[in-house]
Amino acid sequence: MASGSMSSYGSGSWTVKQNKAFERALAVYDQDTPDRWHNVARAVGGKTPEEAKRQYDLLVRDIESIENGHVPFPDYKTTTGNSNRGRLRDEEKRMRSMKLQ
Amino acid sequence: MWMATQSNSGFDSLSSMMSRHAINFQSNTSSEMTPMSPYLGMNMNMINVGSPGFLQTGNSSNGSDSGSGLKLDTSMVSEWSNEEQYILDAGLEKYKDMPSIDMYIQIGNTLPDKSIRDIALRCRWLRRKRRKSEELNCGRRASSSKGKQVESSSKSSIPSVLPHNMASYPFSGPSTSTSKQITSEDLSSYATNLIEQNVRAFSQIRANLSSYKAGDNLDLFRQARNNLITIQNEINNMPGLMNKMPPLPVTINDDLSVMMPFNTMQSGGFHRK
Repeated sequence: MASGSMSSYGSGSWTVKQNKAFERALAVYDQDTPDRWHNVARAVGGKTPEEAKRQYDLLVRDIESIENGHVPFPDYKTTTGNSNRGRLRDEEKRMRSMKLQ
Repeated sequence: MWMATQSNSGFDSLSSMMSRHAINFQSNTSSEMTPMSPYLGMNMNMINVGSPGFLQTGNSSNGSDSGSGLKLDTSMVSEWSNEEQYILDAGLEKYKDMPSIDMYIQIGNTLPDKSIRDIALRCRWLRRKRRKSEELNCGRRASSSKGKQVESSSKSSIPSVLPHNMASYPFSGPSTSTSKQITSEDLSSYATNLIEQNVRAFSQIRANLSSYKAGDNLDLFRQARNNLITIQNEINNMPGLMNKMPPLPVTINDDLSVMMPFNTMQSGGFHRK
């Protein structure tokens, strides 16, 4: 499924910026918005409503694959192992910011 | 909206953000939201400065993120800071009544460095991790569990416990109206809204601290302080049986107020619905 999705992006590829703008537009123009795909495509810029709809269908398919366990997890161990250290760093950063004021 | 908050640190921008969140919170099925202005060119911040740990190459399967900087994308996919995890937990609680795809979309709007696929993967990983921890009967995610316990505690016992100690001056908030008759249901709903506002304010404060914009936190602290004072006054002025309640075991800590130049003339409170 992942490889299928990868091949689908061959023509009319989306950059990281365009995809993030697309996802933000989905949050603003929800499913009940009239002319949703027209507004989403305009928010992204350089895309047609049909391309926006297709991108959304690919997203829905990918989310279903993720929720069905067909997509392997990335390596989350580093962040989990450093959770306490990260929290201490946050505290230190916060204290430093307080002193600056 | 996230970028607007980052670029414009004014109070109106924050009010607009809160207003939009209120709209999102009220309507679950159908909502007419104001269309946003055209997006800025640099919508996505590729560098996650506040993220600790090392760069590692993971099995990233987000096809939509293919492009330049694959290594950086991989590290961002696998690294979740405490702040991002907190925002994710808050979003899961806020949008839990939505279908999962819409919930991920809304949470993605609050996490500029994560894609919707990243969020879905993280949610599934968290569910499996939680299942394992429940089977082993161990509390592996201590910090996240603590955060959730605090939230649920503050929601379940609103009339008697304030969630945080805040630096403030001991004077009444501007939105308090002692002459109005208030029932326990009104107080509960009103206090819940104020506490939820504080949760969002503290989340924003953490984000500002991580991005070295501590100056933007003054308005947020003022808002949170006013909310706490309002809640305290509402509880103290409660008529009927609530008058016989013992005094609050928690009081607002005023010691830190000497470090902050609060402007008492300016009113930072939000209006009642």
